[in-house]
Parts: sequence; structure tokens; C-alpha cells
Amino acid sequence: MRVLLVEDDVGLGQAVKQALQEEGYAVDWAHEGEMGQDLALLEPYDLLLLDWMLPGRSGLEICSVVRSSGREVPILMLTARDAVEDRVTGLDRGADDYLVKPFALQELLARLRALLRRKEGVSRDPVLKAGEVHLDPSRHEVTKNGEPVSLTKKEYQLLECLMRHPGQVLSRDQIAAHIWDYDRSATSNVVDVYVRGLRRKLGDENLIRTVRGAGYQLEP
Amino acid sequence: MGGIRGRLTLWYVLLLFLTLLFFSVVVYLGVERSLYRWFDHDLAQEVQQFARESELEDDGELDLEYEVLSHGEEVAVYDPQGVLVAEVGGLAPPGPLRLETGFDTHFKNGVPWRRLTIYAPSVKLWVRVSRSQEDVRASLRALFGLLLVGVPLTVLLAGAGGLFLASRLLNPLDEITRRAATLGAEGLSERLQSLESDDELARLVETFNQMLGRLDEAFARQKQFTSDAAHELRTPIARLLTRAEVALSRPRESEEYQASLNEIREGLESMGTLVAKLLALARSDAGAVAFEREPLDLADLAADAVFSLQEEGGAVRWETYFAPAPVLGDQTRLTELVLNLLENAVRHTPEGGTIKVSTSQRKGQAELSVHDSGPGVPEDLKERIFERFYQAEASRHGQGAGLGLPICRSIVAEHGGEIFLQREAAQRGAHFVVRLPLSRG
Repeated sequence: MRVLLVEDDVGLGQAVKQALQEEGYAVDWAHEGEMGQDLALLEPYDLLLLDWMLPGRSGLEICSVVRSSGREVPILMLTARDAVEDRVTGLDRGADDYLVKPFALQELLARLRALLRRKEGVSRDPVLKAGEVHLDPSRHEVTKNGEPVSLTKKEYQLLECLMRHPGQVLSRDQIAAHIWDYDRSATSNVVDVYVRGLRRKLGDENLIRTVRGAGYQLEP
Repeated sequence: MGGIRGRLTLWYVLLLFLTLLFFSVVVYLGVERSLYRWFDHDLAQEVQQFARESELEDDGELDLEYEVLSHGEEVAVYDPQGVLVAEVGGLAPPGPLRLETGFDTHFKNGVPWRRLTIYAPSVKLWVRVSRSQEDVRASLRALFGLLLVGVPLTVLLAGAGGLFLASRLLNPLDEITRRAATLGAEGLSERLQSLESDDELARLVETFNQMLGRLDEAFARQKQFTSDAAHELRTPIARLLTRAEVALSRPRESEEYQASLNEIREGLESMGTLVAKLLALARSDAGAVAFEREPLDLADLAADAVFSLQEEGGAVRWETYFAPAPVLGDQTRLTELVLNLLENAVRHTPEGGTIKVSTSQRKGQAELSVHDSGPGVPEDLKERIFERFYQAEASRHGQGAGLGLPICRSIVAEHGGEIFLQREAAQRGAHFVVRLPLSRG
């Protein structure tokens, strides 16, 4: 899962970025509004975390621009304003949720998970399921037939990415864009090696199907 | 003056002054003490001799041996009742006095006189002798004067000497500074002239020159890299530009536009890859990318990578042997490392050739070995192939661009390991070996 964080406060931005990375998200951090908006329109993020007050362009403006471009990516606004009118303005402009500073990182992470879950629209069950393979995003656990499967961080992210788009064919570039951020981008044939490792560890050659010339697909 | 020279001399002079001051005080006090002791001792001997040798004549006449006393002493002789019997000097009180054996000191015209009183049993009389201590005082005054002049003079001379020595020592440094200041204006190719001596300063110049040499080399490499990168990018840009201009030169069918745009897209994609690689190298050079440290097994990485390359097809045979080789590292980076090496091997292996891949543990290190059956690498190029944009053969393979091996090297360096070409007999292919620290448990 790849998240865009737009936050001008260096201390807070660093803390949030680190916390998200430790949770296994790929994170790009824009320090000001202009760059944040460009990235939001350019890259296939799974979630946007926008600060309200930003130099260059406010979080609210970015929110409007992203929505008017037709993107349905979940947006979580971070702000120090907690007047009711402000919250209403934010939500009306297209934000999905709202977190008032200061906030607990635990709550931020939980809200992110909730937003990602809602976005799928497929199931309200927080645990993702594909055949005998279960993935619990809140606990970072993968099990097959109830037995825990030990995955590396990136393998876990790859599996989560595929499981959130069941039945959909994802190209290697699409997958790469979801699990690597700008600082640690990787060439797309690295994805092949990861898929191979995932199949081996899951002991299942058929769960992730190779679609020749197109990419990969999780058996629905 | 000033700087180290002045400070060095100042400290030196201060230390020397304190040392000499301490020394002078000790000497003065020692001399003073022993002079006074010697004075008392001498006086006592003389007085005892005087008392011994003076005697009562048969006729009752008192014979006093004044010759024994040779230092201008004053003498007074008293009978047992303390009444003055005889005297020299004319200042003795007539008595009667209460007399006791022993030394005492009194002053006459500001000059101390030492007086010894003893009882002379041979004549049954008290003898009291006083001697002036003016001589002792004069000696001590002379010593004091000597020290008062001598110490500052010594310090002054030593200071001048110290300054001279410090200057001699530091002049070459000034020289080095002056020469170094003129360097750099014309580039890094110049060197400091080495000193004739064989000492610390000569070694400093030597070290400085070596550093200049390394900087010069790094600078040249950087320049080469920049110009190579510019060249690598300019060629495809020129091609794409031409392509676009041709397409635009006159009205065409939409299929033709589509073909042109497709070609342009492909070109842009490969340029994007090149730029991403350059960026990755630059970031790794700057140490800017924090990377993960996860427990991984080189055997798994290599096996998965070989498997995914086999799926792509190709006309090479793979011989693999994977023993566990656990390491701590960044999965993405290490996967890129393995893929780069394997793709490099595939590129250089002729159709029907064999690529041997193995992992193992050796001497506390995890080892990955990739051995192709291509033409191999000539001995003199074994280091150069790890340089950016260097390619062993003249023909360039599209995407290759000569960045694969340099990227491998930077990944291996990030993980605290080494990568090298194993020495092989001629015509046996290139054999790359990667060694990384083994992780325990």
C-alpha cells in the first residue's frame, strides 16, 4: 500500500512517515502543497494524508483538485482546526475522514486501515481472504489453513496489494508503483522474483496467476 | 610571531621561569641554612678552644688565649658570680649577671651578632664570645643578587632560543601553507614540492600529495561519469526527436502516427529506466537511502530469480546448487543485485551455453557465485568493468548502458560485503563472486 503524506511540519512528518513505513506502507512525503498536488495526480496512491494548512496550496484545495480529476482515492485530512464548520467544509470538499491534531499514531493507523477497507467496498471484514489464505492488515499476519506464513515486508505488501484487487489483472509496473516509494523504486522484473517467492512460501502455484504479457492476477 | 610559534615560546618561557624560581628558592634557603649552621659550629669550636687553652697561671694571673679568636670577636669573661673579670671590645656590661650556657643573637647597629656563652671549668670562669654575622649576610646578599639577575637572564636567553627553534620547526609549515594556497587555482593536477628532509613534515607533504591525487582521480571520474551520462541520454533523445520530426513533417495516416508514438514511448521508457538507475547510484553515493535489514536467505533469492528468468525462456542451461546462506539485508536491493548478475550472465552466454549459480557459506560469509560460459573478462579489465558506463565489449546492448555491475557493487558495499571476478583459466567465462556477512540465527 502506497501512501502520500503532505505535511509541512518536519517533526510530525518524519514521525508519521516512519510509523507508516514500520507498518509496511510505502510512503512519499511532500513538504509543501504544490508538490503534494503534483504527486497526488501523478502516482497511483492508495491513500492521501493531507495537512490542512500548507505553504503553496492548502490541503483543502488539493482535496478539491483530486476529486474533480475523478480520483476516488481515500483522503484523510490532518488539522489543528476542530470547529464544526471546518470539519463540514473538509468533508464536503471530498475528504473521507478527519483527524484533529494532536492525535495518537495508533488512531491514525487504525483510521487508515478503516479507510482502505471501505475503499474496497467488497467486504467489511477487516481480514482479507483468498481461498485458504487469510491476511489481517491490523496485525500484519498471513495464515494459510490457520498456519502462520512468514513473509518479508515487501512480500507481505505484494500479497496485500493483490488481495485488495481480487480478480483484477495488475501489471508489474502497477504493482511496483503500489509497493515501492520514490526513494526505493525498483525495476519491474524484481516483481517477478517476489511473486515467485510468494508462491513458494504459500506453497500454492495457482493462487497468483501469471497473465502472459499483462501481469498478475489473484484467483478470485 | 603569533600563532603556534608565540604560544609555544610563551609556554616554554613560563614553565622555565617557574622551574628556575622554584630552584632558586630551594637553593637560597638551603645555602642560608647551612651557612648559619656552619657559623654556629665554627664559633663553638673557637670558643671551646679558647676556654680550653686559657688557664690560671701559678701566680694567680689569668692567661687568656685571645689569639685563638681570629674574626674580630668581642669577648667577656665573668666569674661564677657573674661579675665581669676581663673583656675585649668594651661593651660588655659589668654584671653581676645570671649566665647560662648557649647561643643567642643580638643586634648592634643593625648587624646581627651571634653570642655563645659557656662555662670553662679549667679556669672556673664564664666565657662569653660574640661574632658578627655580617660576612654570612654579605654572602647571602651576593647569592640573592646573582639569582635575581641570573634567573631572568637565563629565561630571556632560553626564550630567544625557544623562539628560534620554534621558528625553524614551523617555517616549513608556512612554506607548505603558501604553496598549498597557490594550488587549486589551476586544478587538482599540481602537487606540493616534497621537502628534502625525512621527518614528520616531509610525511605531511607526502600525505597531502596523496590526498590530492585521490581527489584528482575522484574528480576526473565524476567528470567522466557526467559526460558519459549526458552522452547516454543525448543519443536516445536525438533519436526520439528525429522520430517526432519525421512524423510531423507531413500529414500521415493515423496508423503511422500510432507507430511513431509507440516507438517514442518505448524510447522514453528505456530512458526512464536509465534515469532511475542513475538516480539510485547517486543516492547510494550520497548515502541518502536508508534501507531495510531483514533476515533473508541468498539461496531463496537466487532460486526465485533463476526461476523467474527460466520462465521468460531463453536458450541457456542453468546448473544450480543452493545451500542456505542467511544474511541481513534489504530484499529489494539484494534481489536487484542477483537479477543484475544473472541478466549479465545471460547476456554474455551464447545460445546453448551453461550458467552455473550457487550459494554457500564460507569462512563466516554468505557467498553467491554466478559463472557464465561467455567469453570471460580479460585480466586487465577486471576492475574496470565495475566502473560506471564501462563496457567490456564495443557493442552495446540497448538497455545495458554499463550500469548493472556498478549498481551491484554499490549494493554489495551498502551491505558491508565484497564483489569480485574469480580468476579463471582463459576462455572459461566470467565468474562473479559476492560475499556478504553471514547472519547468525
